[in-house]
Amino acid sequence: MTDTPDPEYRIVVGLEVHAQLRTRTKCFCACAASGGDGPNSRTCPVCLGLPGALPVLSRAALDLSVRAAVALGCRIAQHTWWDRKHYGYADLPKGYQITQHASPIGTDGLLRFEGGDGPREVRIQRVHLEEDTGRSIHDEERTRLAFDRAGIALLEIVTEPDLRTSADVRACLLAIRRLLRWIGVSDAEMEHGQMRCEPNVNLHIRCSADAGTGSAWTPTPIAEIKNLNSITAAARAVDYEVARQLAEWNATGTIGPGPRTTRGWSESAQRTELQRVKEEAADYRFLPEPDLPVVTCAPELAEAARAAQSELPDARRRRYIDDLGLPAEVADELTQTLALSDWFERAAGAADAPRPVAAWIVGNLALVEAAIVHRRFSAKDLGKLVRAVERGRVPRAAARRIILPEMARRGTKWREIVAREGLEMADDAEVAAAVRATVDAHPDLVETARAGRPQVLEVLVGDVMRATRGRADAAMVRTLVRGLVLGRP
Amino acid sequence: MKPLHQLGARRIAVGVRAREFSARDVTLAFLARVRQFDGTLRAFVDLDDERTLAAADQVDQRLAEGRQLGPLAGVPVALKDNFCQRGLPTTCGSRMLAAWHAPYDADVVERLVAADAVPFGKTNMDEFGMGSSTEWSAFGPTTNPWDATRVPGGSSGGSAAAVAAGLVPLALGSDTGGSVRQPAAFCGVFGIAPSYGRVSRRGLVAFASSLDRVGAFARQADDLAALLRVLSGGDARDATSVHDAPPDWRDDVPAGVREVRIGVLSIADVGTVGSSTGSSSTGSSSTSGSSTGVVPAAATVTEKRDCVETAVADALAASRAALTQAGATLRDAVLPGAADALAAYHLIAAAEAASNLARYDGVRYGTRVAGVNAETSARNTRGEGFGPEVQRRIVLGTMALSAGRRDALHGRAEATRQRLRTAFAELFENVDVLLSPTTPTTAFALGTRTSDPLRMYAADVLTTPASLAGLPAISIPAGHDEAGLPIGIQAVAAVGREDLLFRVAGALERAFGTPAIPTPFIEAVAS
Amino acid sequence: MSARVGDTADAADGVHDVISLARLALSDDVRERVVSACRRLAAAWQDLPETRRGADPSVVSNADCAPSHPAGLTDVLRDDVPAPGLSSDAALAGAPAVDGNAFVVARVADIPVPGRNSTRP
Repeated sequence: MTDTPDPEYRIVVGLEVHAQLRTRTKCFCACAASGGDGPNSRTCPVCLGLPGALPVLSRAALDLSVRAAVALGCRIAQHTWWDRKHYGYADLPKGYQITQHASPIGTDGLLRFEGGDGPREVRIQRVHLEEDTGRSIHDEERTRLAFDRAGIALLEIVTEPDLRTSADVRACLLAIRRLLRWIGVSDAEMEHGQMRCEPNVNLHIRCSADAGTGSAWTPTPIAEIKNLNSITAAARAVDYEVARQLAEWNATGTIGPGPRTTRGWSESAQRTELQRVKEEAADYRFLPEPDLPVVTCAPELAEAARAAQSELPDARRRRYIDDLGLPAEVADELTQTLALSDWFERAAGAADAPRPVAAWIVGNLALVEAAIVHRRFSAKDLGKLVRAVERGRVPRAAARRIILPEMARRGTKWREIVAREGLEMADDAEVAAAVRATVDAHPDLVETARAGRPQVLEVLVGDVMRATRGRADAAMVRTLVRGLVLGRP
Repeated sequence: MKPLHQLGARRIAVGVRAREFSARDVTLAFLARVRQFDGTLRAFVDLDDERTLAAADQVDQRLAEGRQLGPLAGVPVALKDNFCQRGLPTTCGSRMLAAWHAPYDADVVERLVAADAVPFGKTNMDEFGMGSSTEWSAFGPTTNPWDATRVPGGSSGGSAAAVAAGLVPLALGSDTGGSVRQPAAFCGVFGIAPSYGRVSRRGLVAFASSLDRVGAFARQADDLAALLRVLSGGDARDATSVHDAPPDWRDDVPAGVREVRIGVLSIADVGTVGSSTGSSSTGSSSTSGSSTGVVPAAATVTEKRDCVETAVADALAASRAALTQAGATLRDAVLPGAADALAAYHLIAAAEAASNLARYDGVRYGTRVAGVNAETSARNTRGEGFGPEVQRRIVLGTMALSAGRRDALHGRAEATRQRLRTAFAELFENVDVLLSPTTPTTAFALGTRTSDPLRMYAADVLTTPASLAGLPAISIPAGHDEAGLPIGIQAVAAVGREDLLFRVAGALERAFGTPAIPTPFIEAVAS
Repeated sequence: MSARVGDTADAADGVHDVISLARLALSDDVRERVVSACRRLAAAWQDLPETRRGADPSVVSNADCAPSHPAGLTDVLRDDVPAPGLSSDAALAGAPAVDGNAFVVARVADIPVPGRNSTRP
């Protein structure tokens, strides 16, 4: 390789995301979508592709797909149907996959998300509903097959190639995952195979205007990357692929539009490896699925989904920043899940103070999330506690170190803890008495302070705070100590 | 009393319910018939005496327990071998499934058992339903009970032959492009393909899903009505099944045809495609067949032997006269686009067949032929497991859907189907029933068409239009030709109007008589 | 404009490709018989109305192929309620080869194995 400088180029990435829908049954049969007892324990004539078995579409799968298409801002198909996509593979039971080719449920959508360094948009080309295949386990001689996943309802989301950096790829995938969970259509756990993504990556390289094409930007062949099991891996794979394509360009200087390739990400080697070259588009011989009548109720379902749809995470995040004045990182954190975000809003309402509540939640996220799951304390409980702290009625340190942990551990009401532990703020007389007693007990420090080292009085302030068990205001204690010892604040 | 095997299905059910004879008696009588005659006929591919008698005994047991028996009490019903019955082989006439045992029951099997019928073995068929003669069965051909040198028609040839020969009173078939109606015509029995969706397809091994219909055979129209009623009704596990409650068509059989408007298809309207010379169909001139009394057909007909035979045309005329006599209004009718139906049918059926048969790869069930890897094994399995006609249709269907050819082949075929549906809808504004021959000819000789697919397909020319439109259609026995071979007349009605078909069937049964069990065949075997 | 089927050598080659797409391993003579039959059939049937009536063949799009039920059925949906299917024993009962509770086939050759050439056809 020469050390000529890299040419000017831009990265072009589109995503194909598959997410397992949160249905109890598979897409086209009544087999359970999860659970089971070992390989091939969740199958039936339909998903095994036995002779004579017929698919029937799950209402829930359709409904969740429409909900996702609506949340992604898609146009909803008036008439939608399924197509058989034919190809031969041992884990594809019928020799075709039931998918949507000509009439996806949703088209022309848009997803807004926060990119690496600012707001981004990615256009959504299509959203459709299809079935999963079985699983193959290869060894040297044989391939073993299980069909428990065959027929599970998958949502496929295809973006336009609008992403320009691996950071944006990462952010976009996080945003899609957050959105799918937010609207309740998928748990989207990549490590459990509930979400899979396949980035399509290529470069547009600036070169001297080509006499043949007249185009100044030459695209490199598109590589579709498979085997990604985390969002981090997806971003790394894009980085790797950009470097690889650039290196190939630098080495040969001539690659133009060529055949699409499929490359697999190797987690151990941290690189993509060639799987196959698609000389031409595979011939899937799409056939409209004759066993499934056309669906015309998607617009109706969409209307219901729109009516029921809560504010989406990106809009909510912006509102937290713009209207509530929350820092961006705090707004991000609070809009990770709908449950947390709604909880925050209830707590903020009870406290009548969103910013401190936000800080409390983000600062004690593990406690709060556990509380939400285990219902140890309510959003209102936290809101009221924060309000008491903000109004100086409960000591902040006690709230953090004693009250909140006990609320989380035992579900005790904070007022009970305050009463039991005597954690109300000390009154002026009690504070004054404590100051007097502490000063009287340390004549040596008083001496030193008066001799010109007033900073030693901080020891006395600390003693007073300890004596009052944090129930005094430290600034006020400091003023009282200095007044008593030095005769001035 | 007549021998049990000569009784109709409804008479048998009455007798069983009245304890005149037991379901076991009935089953034994028909098993004896099969033992006597099926060596020649070869209608059955699987019939286990013990299992069948056990099913009959269960019916008798239910009666002994004082239970109310269903409409088919103790009536043996044979199943074409593409219906799944739990634990039984379901071969579809193919080596591919020679050893496969279905792990579940077809919807129609559940319904038959619920009606106290006795499932009575599996009948021979063209492999996966692809054929018009039952010669494409991997297990050898079935013969025609009227003439053992002739085919019984197909693909449900085993069921049609068994009913015609009195080996079973009722049988199920499946009709994709005429696979019930055409063998019914060739064997001289009633055969119906009900409206698409009327009967669940769950457990019927798919050939072409948008065309496949469960059909039925009987020697009497009222028996057929009783059987169809048992089979009909919605099924939550067939999304294309229709959930309307089926009417009691038995009342329609004697109801007569007064005021029924019947259009008689102008035969010139339906051509047949191609010829044994393989010449292109376009632009060729029609060949007048007047010298042999053949009705001149459309411009695509190049050989007179593919046209409607004299005897068949005469039977149509006789039917017309009989129906007029019975008070129906008869007129000539044309069906625009009918000439294209055969081509459209074959392209659509082949495309869907290629798709439906993609699952036979020897991985999860069925025959497996080894290979160095999974793909080679799948290819070898499909190369050896499927017979030549199935392979031909798979290749044709794959071609019809492949990139670059799809619009010209499958796309145009679907457009033709839509036009044909519109033409039928317009036709049924003016008539209630469309009448035509079921087939252009009577049963042809064994071995005469297997080498020429286009000539074999020509047997379907009159049945495929109703298939494409999903319309109910029935073949009604209407006499015999000079060689004694049966002739069938087809009646087609609008979706859901099987009642009209049974009215016409009843009227013609009264005119032509209930078909007899063929004596020449019986005598030949007996001697 | 798509190529006419069945009347050129190119189309004949196309039929061979189709046999591969259909995953059929055929002996040479069977293959030739299938090819010639399909060429004849396609030739006999390519003249469906669009060409005969002079309409633009490009207007046939997949949208015209949306499944249409003769009785006009639409929106047939199933409640999301699990029902028992086949036990793993029943699922595997018809399998030509099994290992424990898994179906077994000769190795799927898609993924390259070091030191072994792909045997994918």
